[in-house]
Parts: sequence; C-alpha cells; structure tokens
Amino acid sequence: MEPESKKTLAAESKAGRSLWADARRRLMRDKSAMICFVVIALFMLLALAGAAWEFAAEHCENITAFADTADYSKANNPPSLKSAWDIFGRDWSGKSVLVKTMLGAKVSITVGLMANLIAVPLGMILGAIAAFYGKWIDDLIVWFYTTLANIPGIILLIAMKFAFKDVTFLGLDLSGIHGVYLALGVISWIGTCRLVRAEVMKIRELDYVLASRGIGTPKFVILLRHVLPNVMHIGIIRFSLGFVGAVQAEVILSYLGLGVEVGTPSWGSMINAARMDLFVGRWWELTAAVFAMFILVLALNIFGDRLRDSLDPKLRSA
Amino acid sequence: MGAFITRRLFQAVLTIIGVMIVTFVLFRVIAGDIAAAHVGEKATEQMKADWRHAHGYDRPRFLNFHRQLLITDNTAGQKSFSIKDLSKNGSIDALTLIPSDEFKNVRMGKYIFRLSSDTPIETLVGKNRLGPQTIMQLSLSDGKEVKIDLSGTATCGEMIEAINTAPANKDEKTNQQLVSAEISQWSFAKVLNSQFADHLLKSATFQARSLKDNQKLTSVISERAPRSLALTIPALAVGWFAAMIISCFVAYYRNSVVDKAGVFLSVLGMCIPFLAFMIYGQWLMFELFPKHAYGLAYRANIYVPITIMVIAGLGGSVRFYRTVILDETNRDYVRTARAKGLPLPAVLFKHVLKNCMLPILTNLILTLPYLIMGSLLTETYFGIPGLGDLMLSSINGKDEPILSGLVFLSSLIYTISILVTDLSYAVFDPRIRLQ
Repeated sequence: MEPESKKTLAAESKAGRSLWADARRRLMRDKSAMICFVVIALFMLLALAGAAWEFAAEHCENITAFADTADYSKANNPPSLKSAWDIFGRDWSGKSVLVKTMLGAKVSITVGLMANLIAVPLGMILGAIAAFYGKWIDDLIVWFYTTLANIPGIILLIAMKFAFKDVTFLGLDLSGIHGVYLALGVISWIGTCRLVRAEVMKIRELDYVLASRGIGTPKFVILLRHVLPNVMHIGIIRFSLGFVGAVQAEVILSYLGLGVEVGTPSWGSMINAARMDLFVGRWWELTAAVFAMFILVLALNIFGDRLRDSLDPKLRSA
Repeated sequence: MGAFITRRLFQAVLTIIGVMIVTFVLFRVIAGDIAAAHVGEKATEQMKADWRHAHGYDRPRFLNFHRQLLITDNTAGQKSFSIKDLSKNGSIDALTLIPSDEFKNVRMGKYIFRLSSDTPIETLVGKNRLGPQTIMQLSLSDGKEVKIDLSGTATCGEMIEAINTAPANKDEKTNQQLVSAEISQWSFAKVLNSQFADHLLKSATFQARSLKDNQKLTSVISERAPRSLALTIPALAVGWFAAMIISCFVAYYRNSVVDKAGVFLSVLGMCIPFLAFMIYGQWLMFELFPKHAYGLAYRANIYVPITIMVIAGLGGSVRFYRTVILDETNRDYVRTARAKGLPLPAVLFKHVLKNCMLPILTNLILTLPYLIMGSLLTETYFGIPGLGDLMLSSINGKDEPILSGLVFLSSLIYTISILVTDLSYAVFDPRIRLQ
C-alpha cells in the first residue's frame, strides 16, 4: 500500500467511523468501483424493465409480449440505424436482438440474485453453527461441505440439473430456471461456509463473547447478537463475488440446454442459437449476448474486488 | 506424522462415501423414474415395471425388509402358470406381476416395502382401490382357467381373502383351493438387496453398465479417456508454462506499465465467456484455413481446441500466479538478498520462484480432475467423443449408471489429488505437520 493511502487511513480511523461507513467512504472515492457500480445498476434497471414488460404483457391486452413480436419479413436483418430496435439487428424470427439482450439481462441478474440469496445465508448460518457449537455438529457440516467440494463444480451442477428434471419442489418446476437457482445455491454456499466458520472460530474466543457467556446469555442469543453481525461483511463480499459465478454458470447451463426453458430469451440460449451463425456472416446476435455478458461480468468482478478490499483487506488472498 | 496420515486417509474415505451418498440421492432419490425414457413414453405399466425389475430400480431404496404377495398354484401340471388382466382399467396390470423361478408362484409387487395385510392397494398399484370389473384370469399349470373378481378390494388382506375364497377357486372334486394367496416372510439374507447397497458396490468396483447398450463403464472410459487426455494434457501443460512465464515477466516489472497492462489484460481475459473463445476461435480458424475445417486429416482440428483452452485459461492463472509471486517478494529474505547485492532476476527466479512452488503446484494438482472431465464444453462444441461428451450424452439419454459412475470417478480423482497434496505438504513442509 502506498504511503498516501496510509495517511488517509490513519485520518479516517481518528474520526471513528463504523466499519460500514468507512467501507462506503472508501468505495465512493474509488472511481473505477463507482463506474462499475453504475454499470451494474444499469443492468439491474434493464432487468427490472424487462420484468415489468413481461408482467404488463401478461395482464394488459394491448401490450404485446416479446414472444409475439416475431416479424418474419425482418428475419436476420443486420444492425442498422433505422430504428432503435434495429441497432443490434434482428434474429431468425425478426425479433429485435437489442430487446432480446435486455431480457437476457433479466435472467442473468435474477439468477445471480436468487442463487446467492440461497447460498449466502445458508453458508453463513451453517458456518456459524458449525464453528460456534463445535463437536459433532462441526464434524457433520465440515464432512458435508468437503463432500460437495470434492465433486468438481460444473459436474455437480450438471448432475443436479439432470436430477431436477420433472421434479417439483414447493410448487416450483425445477426442470427450468428454478432448478438453476437451487443448483447454483447448493454448490456455492461452500466457500461462504468455510470463511464464516474460520472467522467465527476466532470470534468465539474473543473477550466480548466470553464475557457474554459469563453472564449467562444463552448460546443462541450470543450467536445472533454478537457473532453473526461480525461476519456480515463476509456475506456481502461473497454475495458480490458469487454473483459473477452465477451469471457465468447460467450462461453455460442454458447453452447446454439445461438452463432456462426453451424460448426464454437468455444470453446462454442466444449463444446456443447463434453459434453457427458466424459462418454465414450473422455476427450480431452472438456478439450482442457475449458483449453484454462481458460488460456485466467485468463490472461485477472489479466491483466485487474493490468491495472486498474496502470491507476486509485481510481476505485479499489468491 | 503417522497420526496425520491416518487421520487424513480416514477423512478421504469418509469423503468418498459422502460422494457416493450424494450421487445416490441425486440420481436415485431426486431424479425419479427413468423407465419411460428407456422403454418409451407410451409403454404400458407392465413394460415399465419389467424394465425396472430387470435393472433393479424396483428394489427398496435403503434396506430391503420387503414381503411379497405370493400366489401359489396348487395344481401339479406341466404348463406354465400365468396371470392375465381382464379388467378394463388396467389396474392388475399395474400390480407388477412377476413370474418367479418355479412356475408355481407368481409374486405381485416384487419389492413392496413392509407389506402387511393392512397395506393399502394404492401402494402396489399407485391408484385408488381396485375399481369395478377388476377381473384376474389365472391360467393354471394343468390347463384350467380361473377368473377371480378383485373389484372393491382396498388392502392386501382383502385381496388375499378375495382370491382364497372366490367360488371359482375350488376344485370341484376334492374341494381344495386351486391357487392360494399369502404374504411371504422376509429373509435376513435379502436385507442388503436394495438400491443403495447395489449403488455403493457398483460405484466402488466400477461395475456399472450402460442402460443403453449394456457396455461396461470401465470399457467406455478406457475407450474415451485417451481422446479427452489428448486434448487436456497439452492444454494444461502449455497453459501452465505460458502462465508461469507471463506471470514471472509481469511480476518482474511490477508497478510498471507492463504490470498494469498485464493485470488489465488478464482481468479482461477472465471476463470473456469461455463459449465466446470457442465460437470466435472456430470461426477464425474457418476464415483462415477454410479447407481444414473438417476431418481428422488436419492437425488444426486438435490444435485449435487446445489453443483456445490455453488462451481462455490464461487470464485467471496469470492473475493468480502474479499474486502468489508478489506476496512472496514482500518477504524479508528477499530484502536481505537484495541488500546483499544480488540482482533482481537472480532473487526472483532462484529464491522467490522456489518458495512459490507450493501454492502453484497445489493449484496445478487441483486442476487434475479437469484433465478427465474439464473439457466438457470444448468436447461438446468441437464434437470430440471424449468423457465430457459422454457425460452430456448420458444426461440426455438418462443413462444413470454411466452418469453416476463418471461423477464418482471425477470426485475420486479430485479427492485423491487433494490427499496427495496434503500428504506431500506434510512431508516437505514441517510447519504443517505440527498442526
């Protein structure tokens, strides 16, 4: 670290800010992090707009759904500036590739959010319980995640999607996108669990926890009130980093035909549909999907790294 | 040291058992019935049941405490004893009538879990109680035909009673029962005759056979593995060397333009989806050498996938190795060596690189399972019939034994690689032994 930032750090610690305020301050100062944040926010807005459109098309009669916008007279039109919808050209059925890419953002963002909403709380709770209660509970949880970690990720993911075919869980059809959420959630809690477990092992022996135990606070209350808040930042870091993995995995699964339902616009299914198009000179659908994914993943990667550095520089390791 | 090795081996065995449990739960418990995929969607219940029985999918899942409903032919004839379904709704058909070894018995519902006389018929049939006009026709071994009306029965006990007391089920002369129905006893020897025990045994011994063509898993693997390895070994070796050279170079010029450009490029490389590398790479090759696009005669067909795998993996590994090398250059001994007057290249390549080898080799060992399976996407995209391709085709064909065998194999290799890494750490690094 350069001496200049050391000075500012010292000044900040004098002011006595909380961890969160401090992290926010550091992030706000970081230009590239802020640019990435804006990019991610834009993608989220696109995703929201896509969701709103689908919702409106379902409930109003005069709004056409994306699936009904096919116009075969415009099939495979190259990109042009004739109208806003033609900027990225048209696909095989004359649908706008721009709109398709935007709707693909909805799938990717939802997968990133849902998978991590399953994985991060699961990893944090199991990790905290394992470290805090110890003994056979710890052994069991460690055995469970070592087992899952010893099956190569992509293979476990594919195997799970295979198993979820024609399975319904809580009324959700797991053969489609819901299965992707669950499968990604199940494979990505392991890293969080490991980190949280290691951190809670340290926290468990700290004075304030020992003091709290000394005055007879129930273990469960200590866990909720004193331990979990102190590993919250790990959850947030893992959430932002896990997002990237989920977005990439969804594209691969959809490409293999194990992801979204047929006909749902997603980047993976766009890449799958257009993979032979390059040879006849139709580059736009593929490039749009790849480019959109590249930008989102880049922004998420950089933002995740910066977030980690500002929240917990200790975690910065290879 | 001995205790460490024993503990570590014990953990590895536990993990491998865990993997077996996970594959079992995924493929046998969650995945549901795959009979329809193999005998056809429109096959009758009887055909599906026969298929399930032939491949052991009708056994109890964990432990076999089953008792069967047995129908015994009391007439000592020469012909074979068979049962036909005369009902309109096909409910007897669904009872999975399985002729036993001697023709005298017919078992109904072969692996019924803890069958008693109170067991509802739904558990055997999967429907409600037997509807009206459920008539079972038994062709006895002496040529007689007996029709028994089972309609209205709701439990096994009622069904047994209906069979035993049916007016047609009586010999006119001797007044004895022609067929008798009962619930068999379970035997202790059959407790392990279950899906789980079978799965454990087949996983551990690699005795699984394909559901499609009955080929042995081991022979499929030995046929296809060389093709996967021909792709992944060069890719891994070249990729590793390239990443090492580039990261040493970048680390040598640290905090300069070269370093920043290197880091920037490797982050870019990490963010480009692997699919894009393949699709654009193949297209580029087609543009450059249009004639070389098909057939095994052109070496480009193996060089291109390898090159793509190397380039696609470069970003991530350069970034990782650079971090490892830079972490090491901040140590005290590097400063001492520099203070002594050693030139930077000598320090970097002689001392630093040696100390970096541990994490770098670990990283390399952890990629070993991907030697076999990792080229899944490349193989499917370029149509290389290796193991990754096999895995995807067995998913599409619902070939469960092959699939679970492959998952188990890759986890086994992974577990063993981690075990070897840990043990060699303990051998070479005394600090770890102490923990």
